[in-house]
Amino acid sequence: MRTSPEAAPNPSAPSDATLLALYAGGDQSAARQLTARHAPRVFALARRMLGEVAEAEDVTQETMLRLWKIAPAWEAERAALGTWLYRVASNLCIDRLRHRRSLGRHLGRDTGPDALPELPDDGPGPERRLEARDRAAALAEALATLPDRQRLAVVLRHIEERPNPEIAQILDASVEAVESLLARARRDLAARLAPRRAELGFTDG
Amino acid sequence: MTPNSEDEALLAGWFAEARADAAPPSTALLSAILADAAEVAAARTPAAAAPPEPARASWWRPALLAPIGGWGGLATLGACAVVGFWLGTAGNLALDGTSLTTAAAVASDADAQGVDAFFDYASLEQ
Repeated sequence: MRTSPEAAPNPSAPSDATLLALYAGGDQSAARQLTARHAPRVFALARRMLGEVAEAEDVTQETMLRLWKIAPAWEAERAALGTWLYRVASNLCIDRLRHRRSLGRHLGRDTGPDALPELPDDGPGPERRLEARDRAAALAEALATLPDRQRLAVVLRHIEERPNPEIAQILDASVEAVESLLARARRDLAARLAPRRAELGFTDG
Repeated sequence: MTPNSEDEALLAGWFAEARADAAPPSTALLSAILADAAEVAAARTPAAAAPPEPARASWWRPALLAPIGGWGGLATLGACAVVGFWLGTAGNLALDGTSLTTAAAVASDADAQGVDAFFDYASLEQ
């Protein structure tokens, strides 16, 4: 399990609120620490939601830009910074998905097997690496068929490993609504992926 | 086991692989984010580096002073005016006796020749 984004990496590290106050006071090293702490998580969410590296980078940069602008007015008690960033990034991703649908394009350009990054040579053998790439592509394609909020809930819960109460804050919904979204999403994903388990090399649960 | 947890168990392997495939953001993206941070911070700070507002230039001073040689010319002109005024005032006082004497002499000449003679001479000119 990865560390929570709002938790400081170690006890002596400054909190997000402290870093934001330092940045608002002109300390650029605070901006570097905030970027190192949060940009990878925002980028990971955007990449899962959009399936395109370039678009995910745009969303990440825009999300962080909004953070820089709001820094002087940040109220530490309002929300955890990680939750706020996820929420901003989620809204930007959903806006882009809607725009993409309006253009008649559903899948991200990077979701096909050929667009996935090469796996390192020191990993499993070529056949198993190809299977891993195909599985990643199959999951991305199945995620892309879900409604936006279901996809967001699945990515936050099962890939970013956020707890349901935080996902409820991000989606501006109740915890019960999040659980319902997740149940429907998992049912749809399982129905799409189960028939391909043997084909893609899954031999057990 | 409920149907949802069966689904979750079936999908666990897929999700685990997806978590392991976490690509880090590129250094170009991180640089762009930090450039934005610097730009926003620079725009927020008061414009200390901006040049001070220049003193409002008055159009009439150069226009009036240039023909007389600037402030030096104006000072000279002022000094001349003071001296002239002094000369004028002091001169009247000093010449009071002279001017009175001259006026009296003219009057006595007029008396001697008579006003009528003056008019006679005038009629001869015509």
